[in-house]
Amino acid sequence: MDPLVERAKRGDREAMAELVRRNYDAVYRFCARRVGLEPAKDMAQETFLTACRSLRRYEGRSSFEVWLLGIAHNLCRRSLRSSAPVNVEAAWRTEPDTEESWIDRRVLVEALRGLSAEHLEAVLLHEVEGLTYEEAAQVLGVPTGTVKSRLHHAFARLRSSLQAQGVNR
Amino acid sequence: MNVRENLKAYLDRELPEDQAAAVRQALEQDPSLRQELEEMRMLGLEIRRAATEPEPVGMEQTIGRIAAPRRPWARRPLLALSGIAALAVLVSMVSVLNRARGDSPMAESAAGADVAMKSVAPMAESMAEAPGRAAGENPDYAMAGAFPERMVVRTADIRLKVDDAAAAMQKAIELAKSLGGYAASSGISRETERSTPVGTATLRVPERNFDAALGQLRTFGEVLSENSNSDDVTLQHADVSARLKVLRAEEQQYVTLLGAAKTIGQVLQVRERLNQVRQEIESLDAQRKTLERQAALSTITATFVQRTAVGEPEPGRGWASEAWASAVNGLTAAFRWIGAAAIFLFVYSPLWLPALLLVAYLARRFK
Repeated sequence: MDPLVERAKRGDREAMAELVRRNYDAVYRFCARRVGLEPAKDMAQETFLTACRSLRRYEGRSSFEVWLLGIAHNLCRRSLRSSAPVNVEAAWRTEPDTEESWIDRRVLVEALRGLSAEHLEAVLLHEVEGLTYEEAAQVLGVPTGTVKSRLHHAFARLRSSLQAQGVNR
Repeated sequence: MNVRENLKAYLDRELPEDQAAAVRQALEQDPSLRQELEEMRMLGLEIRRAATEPEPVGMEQTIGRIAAPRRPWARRPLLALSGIAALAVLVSMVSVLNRARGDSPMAESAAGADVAMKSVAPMAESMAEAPGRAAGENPDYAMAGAFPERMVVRTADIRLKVDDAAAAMQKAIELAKSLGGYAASSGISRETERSTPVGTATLRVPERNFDAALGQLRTFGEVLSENSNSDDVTLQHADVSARLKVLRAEEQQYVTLLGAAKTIGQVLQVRERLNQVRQEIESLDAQRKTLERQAALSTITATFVQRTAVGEPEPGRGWASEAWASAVNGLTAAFRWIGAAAIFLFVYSPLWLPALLLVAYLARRFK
Protein backbone atom coordinates (compact mmCIF):
# COMPACT_ATOMS: atom_id res chain seq x y z
CA MET A 1 0.00 0.00 0.00
CA ASP A 2 1.13 3.57 -0.76
CA PRO A 3 2.91 4.99 2.35
CA LEU A 4 0.90 8.20 1.93
CA VAL A 5 -2.33 6.21 2.18
CA GLU A 6 -0.95 4.41 5.24
CA ARG A 7 -0.29 7.77 6.89
CA ALA A 8 -3.77 9.03 5.97
CA LYS A 9 -5.26 5.86 7.48
CA ARG A 10 -3.48 6.67 10.73
CA GLY A 11 -5.25 10.07 10.76
CA ASP A 12 -2.53 12.25 9.21
CA ARG A 13 -4.54 15.15 7.74
CA GLU A 14 -1.64 16.47 5.68
CA ALA A 15 -1.29 13.05 4.00
CA MET A 16 -5.01 13.07 3.21
CA ALA A 17 -4.72 16.59 1.79
CA GLU A 18 -1.88 15.40 -0.44
CA LEU A 19 -4.04 12.47 -1.62
CA VAL A 20 -6.77 14.98 -2.52
CA ARG A 21 -4.26 17.06 -4.52
CA ARG A 22 -3.07 13.99 -6.42
CA ASN A 23 -6.51 12.61 -7.25
CA TYR A 24 -8.84 15.60 -7.35
CA ASP A 25 -8.66 16.21 -11.11
CA ALA A 26 -9.50 12.60 -11.98
CA VAL A 27 -12.37 12.48 -9.49
CA TYR A 28 -13.74 15.87 -10.52
CA ARG A 29 -13.68 15.02 -14.24
CA PHE A 30 -15.22 11.63 -13.53
CA CYS A 31 -18.11 13.35 -11.70
CA ALA A 32 -18.46 16.18 -14.23
CA ARG A 33 -18.83 13.73 -17.11
CA ARG A 34 -21.67 11.97 -15.27
CA VAL A 35 -23.62 14.61 -13.38
CA GLY A 36 -22.62 17.78 -15.24
CA LEU A 37 -20.29 20.66 -14.37
CA GLU A 38 -22.50 22.37 -11.83
CA PRO A 39 -22.92 19.56 -9.29
CA ALA A 40 -19.49 18.03 -9.98
CA LYS A 41 -17.74 20.16 -7.33
CA ASP A 42 -20.07 19.04 -4.56
CA MET A 43 -19.94 15.46 -5.77
CA ALA A 44 -16.13 15.44 -5.82
CA GLN A 45 -16.02 16.96 -2.33
CA GLU A 46 -18.52 14.39 -1.09
CA THR A 47 -16.36 11.63 -2.63
CA PHE A 48 -13.32 12.72 -0.63
CA LEU A 49 -15.29 13.22 2.59
CA THR A 50 -16.78 9.72 2.20
CA ALA A 51 -13.29 8.38 1.50
CA CYS A 52 -12.02 10.03 4.72
CA ARG A 53 -14.76 8.37 6.75
CA SER A 54 -14.24 4.99 5.09
CA LEU A 55 -10.47 5.04 4.84
CA ARG A 56 -9.97 2.40 7.53
CA ARG A 57 -11.91 -0.04 5.33
CA TYR A 58 -9.55 0.48 2.36
CA GLU A 59 -7.34 -2.61 2.16
CA GLY A 60 -5.30 -1.79 -0.93
CA ARG A 61 -6.89 -4.44 -3.14
CA SER A 62 -7.24 -1.80 -5.87
CA SER A 63 -5.28 1.38 -6.49
CA PHE A 64 -6.35 4.35 -4.35
CA GLU A 65 -7.58 6.24 -7.43
CA VAL A 66 -9.74 3.31 -8.52
CA TRP A 67 -11.14 3.06 -4.99
CA LEU A 68 -12.01 6.78 -5.07
CA LEU A 69 -13.65 6.42 -8.48
CA GLY A 70 -15.71 3.53 -7.08
CA ILE A 71 -17.01 5.85 -4.35
CA ALA A 72 -17.67 8.61 -6.89
CA HIS A 73 -19.47 6.12 -9.14
CA ASN A 74 -21.83 5.12 -6.31
CA LEU A 75 -22.51 8.73 -5.31
CA CYS A 76 -23.18 9.80 -8.92
CA ARG A 77 -25.46 6.84 -9.50
CA ARG A 78 -27.43 7.60 -6.35
CA SER A 79 -27.79 11.29 -7.21
CA LEU A 80 -28.92 10.52 -10.77
CA ARG A 81 -31.63 8.24 -9.46
CA SER A 82 -33.10 10.96 -7.30
CA SER A 83 -32.69 13.99 -9.59
CA ALA A 84 -32.76 14.87 -13.28
CA PRO A 85 -31.23 12.43 -15.83
CA VAL A 86 -27.58 12.83 -16.74
CA ASN A 87 -26.63 15.56 -19.12
CA VAL A 88 -24.72 13.75 -21.88
CA GLU A 89 -23.38 17.06 -23.17
CA ALA A 90 -21.32 17.25 -20.00
CA ALA A 91 -19.34 14.24 -21.18
CA TRP A 92 -19.01 14.94 -24.92
CA ARG A 93 -18.06 17.87 -27.08
CA THR A 94 -20.33 18.45 -30.05
CA GLU A 95 -18.35 21.20 -31.77
CA PRO A 96 -16.11 20.02 -34.64
CA ASP A 97 -12.47 19.29 -33.88
CA THR A 98 -9.72 21.33 -35.39
CA GLU A 99 -7.85 18.11 -36.21
CA GLU A 100 -8.86 16.06 -39.19
CA SER A 101 -11.64 13.66 -38.27
CA TRP A 102 -13.32 10.86 -40.16
CA ILE A 103 -16.60 11.06 -38.23
CA ASP A 104 -18.95 13.98 -37.86
CA ARG A 105 -18.72 14.81 -34.14
CA ARG A 106 -22.47 15.36 -33.81
CA VAL A 107 -23.21 12.00 -35.40
CA LEU A 108 -20.77 10.32 -33.02
CA VAL A 109 -22.30 12.01 -29.95
CA GLU A 110 -25.76 11.01 -31.18
CA ALA A 111 -24.56 7.41 -31.48
CA LEU A 112 -23.05 7.57 -27.97
CA ARG A 113 -26.33 8.94 -26.67
CA GLY A 114 -28.03 5.82 -28.04
CA LEU A 115 -25.96 3.52 -25.81
CA SER A 116 -27.42 2.04 -22.65
CA ALA A 117 -26.18 3.50 -19.34
CA GLU A 118 -24.10 0.39 -18.66
CA HIS A 119 -22.42 0.42 -22.06
CA LEU A 120 -21.78 4.15 -21.88
CA GLU A 121 -20.25 3.75 -18.42
CA ALA A 122 -17.85 1.06 -19.71
CA VAL A 123 -16.85 3.28 -22.67
CA LEU A 124 -16.21 6.26 -20.39
CA LEU A 125 -14.17 4.26 -17.89
CA HIS A 126 -11.96 2.52 -20.44
CA GLU A 127 -11.72 4.83 -23.43
CA VAL A 128 -11.90 8.22 -21.72
CA GLU A 129 -10.71 7.68 -18.15
CA GLY A 130 -8.12 5.16 -19.36
CA LEU A 131 -8.80 2.40 -16.84
CA THR A 132 -7.89 -1.19 -17.62
CA TYR A 133 -10.68 -3.77 -17.82
CA GLU A 134 -9.83 -4.95 -14.31
CA GLU A 135 -9.83 -1.43 -12.85
CA ALA A 136 -13.13 -0.59 -14.58
CA ALA A 137 -14.58 -3.80 -13.14
CA GLN A 138 -13.45 -2.74 -9.64
CA VAL A 139 -15.11 0.65 -10.01
CA LEU A 140 -18.35 -0.87 -11.24
CA GLY A 141 -18.24 -3.85 -8.85
CA VAL A 142 -18.69 -6.39 -11.67
CA PRO A 143 -16.48 -9.21 -13.05
CA THR A 144 -13.79 -8.29 -15.58
CA GLY A 145 -15.52 -10.43 -18.21
CA THR A 146 -18.61 -8.22 -17.91
CA VAL A 147 -16.58 -5.12 -18.75
CA LYS A 148 -15.08 -6.92 -21.75
CA SER A 149 -18.52 -7.96 -22.97
CA ARG A 150 -20.03 -4.49 -22.41
CA LEU A 151 -17.24 -2.84 -24.39
CA HIS A 152 -17.60 -5.34 -27.23
CA HIS A 153 -21.34 -4.73 -27.46
CA ALA A 154 -20.97 -0.96 -27.06
CA PHE A 155 -18.53 -0.78 -29.96
CA ALA A 156 -20.65 -3.11 -32.11
CA ARG A 157 -23.64 -0.87 -31.51
CA LEU A 158 -21.70 2.31 -32.17
CA ARG A 159 -20.38 0.91 -35.47
CA SER A 160 -23.82 -0.15 -36.60
CA SER A 161 -25.30 3.27 -35.64
CA LEU A 162 -22.57 5.07 -37.56
CA GLN A 163 -22.98 2.80 -40.58
CA ALA A 164 -26.71 3.46 -40.53
CA GLN A 165 -25.88 7.20 -40.69
CA GLY A 166 -23.72 6.55 -43.72
CA VAL A 167 -20.44 7.10 -41.91
CA ASN A 168 -17.88 4.77 -43.38
CA ARG A 169 -14.23 4.99 -43.60
CA MET B 1 -14.30 -19.20 -29.54
CA ASN B 2 -15.76 -16.28 -31.50
CA VAL B 3 -12.83 -14.20 -32.73
CA ARG B 4 -15.05 -11.16 -33.43
CA GLU B 5 -16.11 -11.00 -29.79
CA ASN B 6 -12.46 -10.84 -28.76
CA LEU B 7 -11.47 -8.22 -31.29
CA LYS B 8 -12.03 -5.22 -28.99
CA ALA B 9 -10.18 -6.87 -26.10
CA TYR B 10 -7.35 -7.75 -28.52
CA LEU B 11 -7.14 -4.11 -29.59
CA ASP B 12 -6.97 -3.06 -25.92
CA ARG B 13 -4.28 -5.72 -25.15
CA GLU B 14 -6.59 -7.29 -22.60
CA LEU B 15 -6.57 -10.83 -24.00
CA PRO B 16 -4.53 -13.75 -22.61
CA GLU B 17 -1.69 -14.77 -24.94
CA ASP B 18 -3.33 -17.94 -26.31
CA GLN B 19 -6.51 -16.09 -27.29
CA ALA B 20 -4.51 -13.17 -28.68
CA ALA B 21 -2.56 -15.62 -30.89
CA ALA B 22 -5.82 -17.02 -32.23
CA VAL B 23 -7.06 -13.52 -33.08
CA ARG B 24 -3.72 -12.70 -34.77
CA GLN B 25 -4.01 -15.79 -36.92
CA ALA B 26 -7.61 -14.95 -37.88
CA LEU B 27 -6.58 -11.39 -38.75
CA GLU B 28 -3.90 -12.66 -41.12
CA GLN B 29 -6.45 -14.73 -42.98
CA ASP B 30 -9.45 -12.37 -42.98
CA PRO B 31 -9.16 -8.87 -44.50
CA SER B 32 -12.69 -7.87 -43.30
CA LEU B 33 -11.61 -8.62 -39.75
CA ARG B 34 -8.57 -6.37 -40.21
CA GLN B 35 -10.82 -3.58 -41.44
CA GLU B 36 -13.12 -4.04 -38.45
CA LEU B 37 -10.13 -3.80 -36.10
CA GLU B 38 -8.95 -0.63 -37.76
CA GLU B 39 -12.42 0.91 -37.52
CA MET B 40 -12.57 0.11 -33.84
CA ARG B 41 -9.16 1.69 -33.29
CA MET B 42 -10.24 4.85 -35.07
CA LEU B 43 -13.56 4.88 -33.24
CA GLY B 44 -11.77 4.66 -29.89
CA LEU B 45 -9.55 7.56 -30.90
CA GLU B 46 -12.56 9.68 -31.93
CA ILE B 47 -14.32 8.92 -28.66
CA ARG B 48 -11.29 10.06 -26.67
CA ARG B 49 -11.10 13.26 -28.73
CA ALA B 50 -14.83 13.89 -28.29
CA ALA B 51 -14.71 13.57 -24.50
CA THR B 52 -14.79 16.81 -22.54
CA GLU B 53 -11.89 17.75 -20.26
CA PRO B 54 -13.64 19.89 -17.63
CA GLU B 55 -11.37 22.24 -15.73
CA PRO B 56 -11.43 21.08 -12.10
CA VAL B 57 -12.66 23.57 -9.53
CA GLY B 58 -13.14 23.35 -5.78
CA MET B 59 -9.99 21.42 -4.81
CA GLU B 60 -8.87 23.96 -2.20
CA GLN B 61 -12.30 23.96 -0.57
CA THR B 62 -12.23 20.17 -0.37
CA ILE B 63 -8.75 20.22 1.15
CA GLY B 64 -9.92 22.93 3.58
CA ARG B 65 -12.80 20.76 4.74
CA ILE B 66 -10.61 17.71 5.16
CA ALA B 67 -7.53 19.30 6.73
CA ALA B 68 -9.28 21.71 9.11
CA PRO B 69 -9.29 20.42 12.70
CA ARG B 70 -12.87 19.74 13.70
CA ARG B 71 -14.65 19.17 16.93
CA PRO B 72 -15.98 15.65 17.38
CA TRP B 73 -19.62 16.76 17.17
CA ALA B 74 -18.96 18.57 13.90
CA ARG B 75 -18.00 15.31 12.19
CA ARG B 76 -21.59 14.23 12.26
CA PRO B 77 -23.74 17.37 12.17
CA LEU B 78 -26.97 15.45 11.65
CA LEU B 79 -26.26 13.29 14.66
CA ALA B 80 -25.46 16.37 16.72
CA LEU B 81 -28.67 18.11 15.64
CA SER B 82 -30.83 15.07 16.31
CA GLY B 83 -29.12 14.72 19.69
CA ILE B 84 -29.97 18.35 20.53
CA ALA B 85 -33.58 17.82 19.43
CA ALA B 86 -33.89 14.64 21.52
CA LEU B 87 -32.30 16.41 24.50
CA ALA B 88 -34.76 19.32 24.22
CA VAL B 89 -37.72 16.95 24.21
CA LEU B 90 -36.31 14.99 27.15
CA VAL B 91 -35.67 18.15 29.17
CA SER B 92 -39.24 19.35 28.59
CA MET B 93 -40.57 15.93 29.63
CA VAL B 94 -38.47 15.97 32.79
CA SER B 95 -39.80 19.40 33.75
CA VAL B 96 -43.40 18.28 33.23
CA LEU B 97 -42.79 15.11 35.21
CA ASN B 98 -41.18 17.05 38.03
CA ARG B 99 -44.22 19.31 38.22
CA ALA B 100 -46.46 16.25 38.25
CA ARG B 101 -44.40 14.73 41.04
CA GLY B 102 -44.69 17.88 43.11
CA ASP B 103 -48.47 17.82 42.83
CA SER B 104 -49.09 14.16 43.32
CA PRO B 105 -47.89 12.22 46.36
CA MET B 106 -48.89 9.10 44.48
CA ALA B 107 -45.95 9.53 42.15
CA GLU B 108 -43.37 10.12 44.88
CA SER B 109 -42.04 6.66 44.46
CA ALA B 110 -40.91 7.59 40.98
CA ALA B 111 -37.18 7.28 40.49
CA GLY B 112 -34.98 10.34 40.09
CA ALA B 113 -35.44 12.04 36.79
CA ASP B 114 -31.84 11.81 35.62
CA VAL B 115 -33.14 10.45 32.37
CA ALA B 116 -36.69 11.33 31.48
CA MET B 117 -37.43 7.98 29.91
CA LYS B 118 -36.50 6.25 33.12
CA SER B 119 -38.89 8.39 35.12
CA VAL B 120 -41.79 7.73 32.78
CA ALA B 121 -41.95 4.06 33.70
CA PRO B 122 -42.17 4.25 37.52
CA MET B 123 -44.72 7.03 37.28
CA ALA B 124 -46.92 5.07 34.97
CA GLU B 125 -46.46 2.11 37.28
CA SER B 126 -47.70 4.15 40.23
CA MET B 127 -50.74 5.11 38.25
CA ALA B 128 -51.32 1.54 37.26
CA GLU B 129 -51.36 0.56 40.91
CA ALA B 130 -54.14 3.08 41.57
CA PRO B 131 -56.78 2.26 39.00
CA GLY B 132 -59.40 4.36 40.78
CA ARG B 133 -57.53 7.49 39.84
CA ALA B 134 -58.10 8.45 36.24
CA ALA B 135 -55.47 10.35 34.31
CA GLY B 136 -57.73 13.29 33.69
CA GLU B 137 -58.14 14.00 37.43
CA ASN B 138 -54.79 15.75 37.66
CA PRO B 139 -54.35 18.45 35.05
CA ASP B 140 -50.60 17.80 34.96
CA TYR B 141 -51.22 14.33 33.63
CA ALA B 142 -52.95 15.77 30.61
CA MET B 143 -49.51 15.82 28.95
CA ALA B 144 -50.32 14.65 25.41
CA GLY B 145 -52.34 11.80 26.86
CA ALA B 146 -49.13 9.90 27.54
CA PHE B 147 -50.57 8.41 30.72
CA PRO B 148 -54.02 7.07 30.04
CA GLU B 149 -55.93 5.07 32.63
CA ARG B 150 -54.76 1.60 33.45
CA MET B 151 -54.43 -0.47 30.30
CA VAL B 152 -54.90 -4.23 30.67
CA VAL B 153 -55.02 -6.86 27.96
CA ARG B 154 -57.22 -9.69 29.22
CA THR B 155 -57.40 -13.08 27.55
CA ALA B 156 -59.08 -16.37 28.50
CA ASP B 157 -59.32 -19.91 27.16
CA ILE B 158 -62.28 -22.01 28.18
CA ARG B 159 -63.03 -25.60 27.18
CA LEU B 160 -66.54 -26.97 27.73
CA LYS B 161 -68.33 -30.26 27.22
CA VAL B 162 -71.76 -29.55 25.67
CA ASP B 163 -74.66 -31.48 24.18
CA ASP B 164 -74.53 -29.70 20.83
CA ALA B 165 -71.27 -28.01 19.82
CA ALA B 166 -72.76 -26.06 16.89
CA ALA B 167 -75.65 -24.69 18.97
CA ALA B 168 -73.35 -23.75 21.84
CA MET B 169 -70.99 -21.97 19.46
CA GLN B 170 -73.86 -20.01 17.94
CA LYS B 171 -75.06 -19.11 21.44
CA ALA B 172 -71.55 -17.88 22.33
CA ILE B 173 -71.46 -15.66 19.23
CA GLU B 174 -74.84 -14.18 20.18
CA LEU B 175 -73.55 -13.63 23.72
CA ALA B 176 -70.52 -11.68 22.43
CA LYS B 177 -72.79 -9.49 20.29
CA SER B 178 -75.19 -8.82 23.17
CA LEU B 179 -72.24 -7.66 25.31
CA GLY B 180 -71.07 -5.18 22.68
CA GLY B 181 -68.42 -7.45 21.11
CA TYR B 182 -68.13 -9.76 18.16
CA ALA B 183 -66.78 -13.14 17.09
CA ALA B 184 -63.34 -12.72 15.52
CA SER B 185 -63.42 -16.30 14.22
CA SER B 186 -65.46 -19.47 14.63
CA GLY B 187 -65.55 -22.96 13.20
CA ILE B 188 -66.48 -26.59 13.72
CA SER B 189 -64.21 -29.52 13.05
CA ARG B 190 -64.04 -33.29 13.51
CA GLU B 191 -60.83 -35.20 13.88
CA THR B 192 -62.24 -38.10 11.88
CA GLU B 193 -65.60 -38.95 10.36
CA ARG B 194 -66.57 -40.96 13.44
CA SER B 195 -65.39 -38.51 16.07
CA THR B 196 -67.69 -35.98 17.72
CA PRO B 197 -67.63 -32.36 16.49
CA VAL B 198 -65.61 -29.69 18.25
CA GLY B 199 -66.57 -26.02 17.91
CA THR B 200 -64.14 -23.15 18.49
CA ALA B 201 -65.02 -19.47 18.71
CA THR B 202 -62.71 -16.53 19.34
CA LEU B 203 -64.78 -13.82 20.97
CA ARG B 204 -63.79 -10.17 21.38
CA VAL B 205 -65.76 -8.43 24.13
CA PRO B 206 -65.28 -5.03 25.80
CA GLU B 207 -62.92 -5.30 28.75
CA ARG B 208 -65.66 -4.21 31.21
CA ASN B 209 -67.85 -7.17 30.10
CA PHE B 210 -65.06 -9.75 30.19
CA ASP B 211 -66.09 -11.33 33.51
CA ALA B 212 -69.79 -11.33 32.57
CA ALA B 213 -69.03 -13.08 29.27
CA LEU B 214 -66.87 -15.71 30.95
CA GLY B 215 -69.52 -16.29 33.63
CA GLN B 216 -72.24 -16.82 31.01
CA LEU B 217 -70.05 -19.18 29.00
CA ARG B 218 -69.51 -21.40 32.06
CA THR B 219 -73.27 -22.06 32.14
CA PHE B 220 -73.22 -23.48 28.59
CA GLY B 221 -71.96 -26.90 29.71
CA GLU B 222 -69.47 -28.76 31.85
CA VAL B 223 -66.20 -26.80 32.18
CA LEU B 224 -63.26 -29.06 31.22
CA SER B 225 -60.57 -26.42 31.60
CA GLU B 226 -60.28 -22.68 32.00
CA ASN B 227 -57.33 -20.29 31.91
CA SER B 228 -57.41 -16.54 32.06
CA ASN B 229 -54.60 -14.03 31.84
CA SER B 230 -54.29 -10.30 32.51
CA ASP B 231 -51.39 -8.44 30.98
CA ASP B 232 -50.87 -4.89 32.20
CA VAL B 233 -49.54 -2.92 29.23
CA THR B 234 -49.79 0.56 30.77
CA LEU B 235 -46.00 0.86 30.97
CA GLN B 236 -45.50 -0.47 27.49
CA HIS B 237 -48.05 1.98 26.10
CA ALA B 238 -46.51 4.91 27.96
CA ASP B 239 -43.06 3.92 26.67
CA VAL B 240 -44.24 3.64 23.05
CA SER B 241 -46.07 6.99 23.30
CA ALA B 242 -43.00 8.74 24.71
CA ARG B 243 -40.75 7.31 22.01
CA LEU B 244 -43.24 8.40 19.37
CA LYS B 245 -43.19 11.93 20.72
CA VAL B 246 -39.39 12.10 20.60
CA LEU B 247 -39.28 10.69 17.06
CA ARG B 248 -41.92 13.13 15.81
CA ALA B 249 -39.84 16.02 17.15
CA GLU B 250 -36.80 14.54 15.40
CA GLU B 251 -38.81 14.20 12.18
CA GLN B 252 -39.65 17.91 12.30
CA GLN B 253 -35.97 18.75 12.74
CA TYR B 254 -35.08 16.72 9.65
CA VAL B 255 -37.84 18.35 7.60
CA THR B 256 -36.37 21.76 8.51
CA LEU B 257 -32.87 20.52 7.67
CA LEU B 258 -34.07 19.19 4.32
CA GLY B 259 -35.34 22.65 3.40
CA ALA B 260 -31.95 24.15 4.31
CA ALA B 261 -29.81 21.49 2.55
CA LYS B 262 -27.61 22.97 -0.12
CA THR B 263 -25.82 20.05 -1.75
CA ILE B 264 -27.16 16.84 -3.23
CA GLY B 265 -25.08 14.93 -0.73
CA GLN B 266 -26.73 16.75 2.17
CA VAL B 267 -30.22 16.26 0.69
CA LEU B 268 -29.57 12.53 0.27
CA GLN B 269 -28.19 12.18 3.78
CA VAL B 270 -31.09 14.04 5.38
CA ARG B 271 -33.70 12.25 3.28
CA GLU B 272 -32.23 8.85 4.17
CA ARG B 273 -32.37 9.61 7.89
CA LEU B 274 -35.86 11.14 7.53
CA ASN B 275 -37.09 7.94 5.90
CA GLN B 276 -35.61 5.90 8.73
CA VAL B 277 -37.30 8.07 11.36
CA ARG B 278 -40.63 7.87 9.53
CA GLN B 279 -40.40 4.10 9.34
CA GLU B 280 -39.73 3.95 13.09
CA ILE B 281 -42.70 6.26 13.69
CA GLU B 282 -45.00 4.07 11.59
CA SER B 283 -43.86 0.95 13.40
CA LEU B 284 -44.33 2.51 16.86
CA ASP B 285 -47.70 3.98 15.91
CA ALA B 286 -48.85 0.54 14.79
CA GLN B 287 -47.65 -0.91 18.12
CA ARG B 288 -49.52 1.78 20.05
CA LYS B 289 -52.75 1.19 18.10
CA THR B 290 -52.48 -2.58 18.55
CA LEU B 291 -52.03 -2.16 22.31
CA GLU B 292 -55.02 0.15 22.50
CA ARG B 293 -57.15 -2.24 20.45
CA GLN B 294 -56.11 -5.22 22.56
CA ALA B 295 -56.82 -3.37 25.78
CA ALA B 296 -60.21 -2.11 24.60
CA LEU B 297 -61.47 -5.56 23.62
CA SER B 298 -60.60 -8.70 25.59
CA THR B 299 -60.22 -12.04 23.83
CA ILE B 300 -61.97 -15.24 24.92
CA THR B 301 -61.26 -18.46 23.06
CA ALA B 302 -64.09 -20.92 23.75
CA THR B 303 -63.88 -24.56 22.70
CA PHE B 304 -67.04 -26.71 22.77
CA VAL B 305 -66.55 -30.48 22.81
CA GLN B 306 -69.75 -32.37 22.02
CA ARG B 307 -70.80 -35.19 24.35
CA THR B 308 -71.19 -38.70 22.89
CA ALA B 309 -74.94 -39.51 22.60
CA VAL B 310 -76.43 -42.44 24.58
CA GLY B 311 -76.24 -45.70 22.57
CA GLU B 312 -73.72 -44.21 20.15
CA PRO B 313 -70.41 -46.07 20.17
CA GLU B 314 -67.43 -44.23 21.60
CA PRO B 315 -65.32 -42.70 18.91
CA GLY B 316 -62.70 -45.18 17.81
CA ARG B 317 -60.56 -46.30 14.97
CA GLY B 318 -62.63 -49.32 13.72
CA TRP B 319 -62.69 -52.98 14.86
CA ALA B 320 -59.67 -54.17 12.89
CA SER B 321 -57.29 -51.53 14.20
CA GLU B 322 -58.68 -51.97 17.73
CA ALA B 323 -58.10 -55.76 17.51
CA TRP B 324 -54.58 -55.17 16.22
CA ALA B 325 -53.81 -52.71 19.02
CA SER B 326 -55.28 -55.09 21.58
CA ALA B 327 -53.21 -58.06 20.29
CA VAL B 328 -50.00 -56.02 20.28
CA ASN B 329 -50.71 -54.81 23.80
CA GLY B 330 -51.40 -58.40 24.95
CA LEU B 331 -48.16 -59.69 23.46
CA THR B 332 -46.20 -56.86 25.04
CA ALA B 333 -47.77 -57.62 28.41
CA ALA B 334 -46.87 -61.33 28.06
CA PHE B 335 -43.22 -60.53 27.31
CA ARG B 336 -43.12 -58.13 30.21
CA TRP B 337 -44.49 -60.83 32.55
CA ILE B 338 -41.94 -63.38 31.35
CA GLY B 339 -39.12 -60.87 31.74
CA ALA B 340 -40.25 -59.95 35.26
CA ALA B 341 -40.45 -63.67 36.23
CA ALA B 342 -36.90 -64.27 34.97
CA ILE B 343 -35.58 -61.36 37.01
CA PHE B 344 -37.34 -62.65 40.12
CA LEU B 345 -35.94 -66.15 39.62
CA PHE B 346 -32.44 -64.78 39.20
CA VAL B 347 -32.62 -62.49 42.21
CA TYR B 348 -34.00 -65.27 44.48
CA SER B 349 -31.59 -67.90 43.15
CA PRO B 350 -29.47 -67.91 46.38
CA LEU B 351 -32.54 -69.30 48.11
CA TRP B 352 -33.90 -71.86 45.69
CA LEU B 353 -30.76 -72.94 43.84
CA PRO B 354 -29.03 -74.68 46.85
CA ALA B 355 -32.34 -76.33 47.74
CA LEU B 356 -32.76 -77.60 44.21
CA LEU B 357 -29.17 -78.89 44.06
CA LEU B 358 -29.63 -80.64 47.44
CA VAL B 359 -32.84 -82.29 46.25
CA ALA B 360 -31.12 -83.44 43.05
CA TYR B 361 -28.15 -84.83 45.06
CA LEU B 362 -30.37 -86.71 47.50
CA ALA B 363 -32.52 -88.09 44.71
CA ARG B 364 -29.40 -89.50 43.01
CA ARG B 365 -28.03 -90.87 46.33
CA PHE B 366 -31.15 -92.76 47.31
CA LYS B 367 -31.99 -93.96 43.85
